[in-house]
Amino acid sequence: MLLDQKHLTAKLITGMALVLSTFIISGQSYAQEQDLYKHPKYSKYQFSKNPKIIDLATQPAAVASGIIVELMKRDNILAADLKAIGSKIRFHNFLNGSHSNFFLTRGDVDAVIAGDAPTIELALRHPIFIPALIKQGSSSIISRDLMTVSDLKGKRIGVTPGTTSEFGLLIVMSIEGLSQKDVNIEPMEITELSSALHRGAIDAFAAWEPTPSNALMKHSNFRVLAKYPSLSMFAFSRQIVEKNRPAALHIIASYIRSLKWLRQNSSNLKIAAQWNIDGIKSFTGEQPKLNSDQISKIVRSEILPSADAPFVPRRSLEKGGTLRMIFDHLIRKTGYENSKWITVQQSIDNTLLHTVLSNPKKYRIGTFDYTMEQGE
Amino acid sequence: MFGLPYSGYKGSWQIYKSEAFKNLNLIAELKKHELMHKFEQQIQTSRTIASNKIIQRTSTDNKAEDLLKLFQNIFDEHPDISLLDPDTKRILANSSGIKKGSDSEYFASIKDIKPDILHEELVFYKSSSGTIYAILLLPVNKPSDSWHKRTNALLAVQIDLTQWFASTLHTTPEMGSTGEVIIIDDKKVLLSALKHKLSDGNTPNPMQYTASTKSADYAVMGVDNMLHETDYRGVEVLASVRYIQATPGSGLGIIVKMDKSEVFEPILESFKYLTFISLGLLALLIALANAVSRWLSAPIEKLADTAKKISEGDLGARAQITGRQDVDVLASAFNTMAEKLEEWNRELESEVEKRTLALLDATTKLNASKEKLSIALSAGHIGMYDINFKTGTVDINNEYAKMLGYQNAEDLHESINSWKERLHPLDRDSSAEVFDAFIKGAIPEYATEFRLRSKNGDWVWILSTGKIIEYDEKGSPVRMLGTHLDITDRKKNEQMLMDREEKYRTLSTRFNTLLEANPDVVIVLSPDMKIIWANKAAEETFDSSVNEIIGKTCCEFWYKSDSGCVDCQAKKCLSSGDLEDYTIESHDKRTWDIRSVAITDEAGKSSNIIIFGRDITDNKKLEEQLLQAQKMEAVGQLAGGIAHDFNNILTGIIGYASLLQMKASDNSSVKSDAANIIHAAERAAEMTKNLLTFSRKQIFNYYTINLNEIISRTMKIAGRLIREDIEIKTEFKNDPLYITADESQLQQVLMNLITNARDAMQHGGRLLITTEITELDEEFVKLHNIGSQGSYVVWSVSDTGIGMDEETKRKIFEPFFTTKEVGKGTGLGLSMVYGIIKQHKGHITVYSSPGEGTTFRIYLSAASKEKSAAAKSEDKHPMPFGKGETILVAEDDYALRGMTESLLTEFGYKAIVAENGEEAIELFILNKDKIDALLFDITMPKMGGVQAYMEIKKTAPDIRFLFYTGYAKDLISEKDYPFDITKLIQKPVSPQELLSKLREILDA
Repeated sequence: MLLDQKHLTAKLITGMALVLSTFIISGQSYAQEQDLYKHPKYSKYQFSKNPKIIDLATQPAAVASGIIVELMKRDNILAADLKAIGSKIRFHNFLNGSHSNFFLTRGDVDAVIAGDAPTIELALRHPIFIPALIKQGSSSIISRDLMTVSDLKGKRIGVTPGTTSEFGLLIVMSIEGLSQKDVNIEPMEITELSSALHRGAIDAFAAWEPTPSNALMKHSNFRVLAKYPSLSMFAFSRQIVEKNRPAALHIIASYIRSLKWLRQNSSNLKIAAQWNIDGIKSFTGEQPKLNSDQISKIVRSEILPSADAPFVPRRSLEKGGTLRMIFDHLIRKTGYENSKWITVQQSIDNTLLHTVLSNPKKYRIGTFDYTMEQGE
Repeated sequence: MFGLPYSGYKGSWQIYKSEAFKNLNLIAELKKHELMHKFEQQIQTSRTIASNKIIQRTSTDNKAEDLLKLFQNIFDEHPDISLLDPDTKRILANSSGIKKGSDSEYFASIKDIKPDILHEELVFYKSSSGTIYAILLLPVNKPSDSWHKRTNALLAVQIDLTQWFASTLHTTPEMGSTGEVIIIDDKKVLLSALKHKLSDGNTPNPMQYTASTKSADYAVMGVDNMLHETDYRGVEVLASVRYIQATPGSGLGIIVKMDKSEVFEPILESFKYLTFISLGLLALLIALANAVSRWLSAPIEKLADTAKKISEGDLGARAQITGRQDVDVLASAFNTMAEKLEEWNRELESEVEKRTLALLDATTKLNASKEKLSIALSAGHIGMYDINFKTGTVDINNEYAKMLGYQNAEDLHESINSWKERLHPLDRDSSAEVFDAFIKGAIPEYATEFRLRSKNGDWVWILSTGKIIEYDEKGSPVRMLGTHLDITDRKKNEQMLMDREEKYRTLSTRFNTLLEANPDVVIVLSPDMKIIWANKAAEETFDSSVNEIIGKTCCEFWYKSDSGCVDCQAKKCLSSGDLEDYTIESHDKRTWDIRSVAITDEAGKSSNIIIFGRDITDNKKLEEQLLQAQKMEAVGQLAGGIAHDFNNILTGIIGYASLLQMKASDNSSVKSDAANIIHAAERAAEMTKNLLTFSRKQIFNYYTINLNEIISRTMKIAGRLIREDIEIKTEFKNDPLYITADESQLQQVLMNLITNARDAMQHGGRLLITTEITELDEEFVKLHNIGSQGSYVVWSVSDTGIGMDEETKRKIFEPFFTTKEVGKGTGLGLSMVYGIIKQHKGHITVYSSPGEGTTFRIYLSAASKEKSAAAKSEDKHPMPFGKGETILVAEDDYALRGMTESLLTEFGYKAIVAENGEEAIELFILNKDKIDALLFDITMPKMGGVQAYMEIKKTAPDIRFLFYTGYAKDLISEKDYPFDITKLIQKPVSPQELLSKLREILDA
């Protein structure tokens, strides 16, 4: 009897561990799903099921996409174009992509700007369109005492679950023959990673910019173990595109417009960077460690290179490409059937971007009218 | 000595490693930026060319080509710049003079690229001369700020990578002699030449070799990082990887590596030197330690030698005092100890000697006791065992072994396990349980029985007893001593006794069951006539329990008398010993058949009486009823026979009188005389009918009727017959009440009963008629022979008249019995009632006592519901005439024969008459062709009507026939009359009926 009880307990614990780990890896975060409505940052958000009101989920702390959103908030042309078709746009800030996915799958938000891993997962769970690339950036693995990726074995690694940096970490480790069970993943919010490494609570962390750059600047004994590409993308729910396609096109146009405006001169870049800093502070309550010059540099290297045609790179969809590798990793973790890669491929739709780029005058992508005060 | 150098080495190693990584990373980063810058510049330049309006027009004139040549001269690192058709990839314009419309050298590398590329693409190829080139493809759009679905042309800028990569591939001094830079494309294809050969000795060529190292994997993933790995030679290296996103869709990987051995060479040297010094120091230390230990240990060794001598028995050995203070103290103490040891040894030896003598004495006495015990055990055939739980051994005596068929104890090697194996399988568990319980102290004594298998395989019953005689310090048993006694014989005897008892019990139980199940009273009397045993039937009969019965006499129960029986038959039986059968009437007027049987002992003397008593009261009643019924039956038969003959005579009288009446004129006295004759004959016929009714030979017409309604209707008429001083009351407890009956007969019954009741109440009284439905059980219906159990209608007619005595009650249903004066009654009324009820398969009882009135109770089987009774239609049709048909009549009665002939002739038929069946056949043969129908009496001398018909039918199967009879139809069996019952008419038959039926037969 005692043996059976022990056996049963062991099974129970193992099962619970599996569930818990799947839960974490699948991006549902250590914050239980049902708690996100009660999350102190989101509890007061108001959403609308009205297709005329577009609720857009953003992550201000992600530097590159944060800048785009700050411009869109101040884009008077966008506001006027939406008003003309009886629509409007609202912006909602989230800490990471898995949080914004939570609300999109429930129909609370209609579009998201998020990293590659949460966007791929979203494509597998919910019908979406991915019309445009926001940035081709990078995430980094930062450590204090370790030197190579292989040194991560048996170490504690801080990471925000379900994000591009987490998946990238696992992919990079896999080259060295390491899997998740060879390390100790410590889930934490992006804002906690640097301080945790500094006080020795963890041995390394994986994060997207600007967190690694901030950390390296603040702590001279930190070093980069690896830097790997991460993409950010625009994603719309299919439903909103089908019900209010004109609004979606105007929003894409606003995005293109912002790229062109940023590319105009460095002064624009700096202004937008400052808006980004203000936006981060307003949301997180903390002053970001990067200044506007540093943010500008990131924007130049990660966003502007593909400003002319911000389509999702073909290479990323091929075998060995970033998105394909993230998908392969996601399957192993969550058991999605292999055939659903088609779902991801079919989610990537260039027609919206094509439409906007083919009609520059109609969508006024060369015209600029931004409110210079603090946006909503 | 070793730890410090090692720690120093380890620390240096980390520092070296860190520095090496840092350097390589730096180099890789620089090379990445260098190459990236080149690509960025190239793309910008190419975009400038692609955005040129002349180029955008992609005209086929020479302007584009001239422009391309110009650009080539300006940007001299490009061997070729071409404009290509986006679909065919053929040259539209070219800077090197290649013919338009032809394929470029790198056609194979670009042919699969989509025509409407959205951004720059980079492809690599190897020329025929072995030079590696990159082709930068850019979309060329039409000269407007708009996107089209297809590009106008593709601008292909050829880049000589050998020149491009030259500086990138250059290794710096920091990279040492083993440093190397490798460039690969997105598919890990080598774009630069390798410094070394592969592990298999081959030299890999760019564009023909695909890298398979971890660094290559990282590179194509776009990961920048630092790692240890084994390179393409199989050598361990440190590598730094960088990825360059050359165009939005493609990139390059740079791997900067250095052999590990070269990186860590300096520190390895240090490590060797440190190791050598450490080893030397270690050796010195060991030697020094050895010398010191030898100096310290010499006196101790001597001391050890002395101790060894003492241990070997030389108690006089002593340690040497050396003069070294620290050792001498130890030696002195050692010598003191040795002296003490010697002294104790002497004392010990003395004590041992004393005890040895005492032991010898005790042993002698013990052996004597043992001998006595052994003799006692042998004499009593008692086996003995001695178990040692520690060793598991069991010592036994010879008796133990002999019990099991062995010669002696030595032949039987007993142990606890062998004992267990020898146990009977059925005794194993119980024996083990008892044994364990005793060993654990759960039970105070050990005594148990079990079977052991003997040498020859038989089972021997053993009574085993035992006692623990030794415990260890923890209280666990160590030794147990016990005995075995062979009880096989005792067990056999016990089994025999048990078998006998079982047999006896079984017989006793069967006997008891038999007696208890007997429905008759069975009691056993003692010689003094007291009941000593009684069965269940006795309990029920005497309405007392067995305990109440026992001790009393049977007279007390049968006669309610405790004064003993006069002339007791049971006493007679006891004294004679003979069986006595007799009948008694108990106090409750029940009749009993008694049999007394004497139980005799072996000497033949009667010791007890068994009484069997059977209640025959009901049987007697039944017999009386049967006798009465038989008597009534006999009377009925007689009456029926007479009535039958009468009917025939009356038919003749009525028939002739009818004819006379018909022929006479209306005013003549002959007609009225004829009417009187008919009336008188009808009255006589009525009497015979009543007789027939009594004898149950009357024909009834049964319908389902409501009895209550019949009574109500009848009472309306009967009310006139009853005097006013008689109160009439009817009570219908269930309404409606359906029965299947002949309505007119029931009316007759009621009329007769009312008449009798009226006659019994000469001075007034009350007449009560009730009906109800009741359930009769099987016993009742069987007793009164009235059919089957079920629902019955009970119809009572009660009066408060003078009543009847028993004698009168017994006879009232007999025909012609009457208590009235002569001429006041025929004496047939109640007999007719009896006959009617019996014919209805019912039952009638009478309850009466003198002065107490009389109640007649009639039981009739209840029916389900009323069926509509067909209205009896009176035949008012005129006499049907014949059509000249010839009828053969067979009738043995002279008058009837004559009447029938006259009737037929009168009414248009021709009649041929015969006296019996034989004659009828003869006449038929003679007149076969003329005869249309047969009219035969069934019962005739010589040959009956049916038999005659059967003969005639052989020759004339279709002959029509009609039978008539003086008997009731339902009393004629199928054997006597196997034909359609509608072709049979009942005498006396009126002319009307006869002629109608005959006409019906002829017209069918």
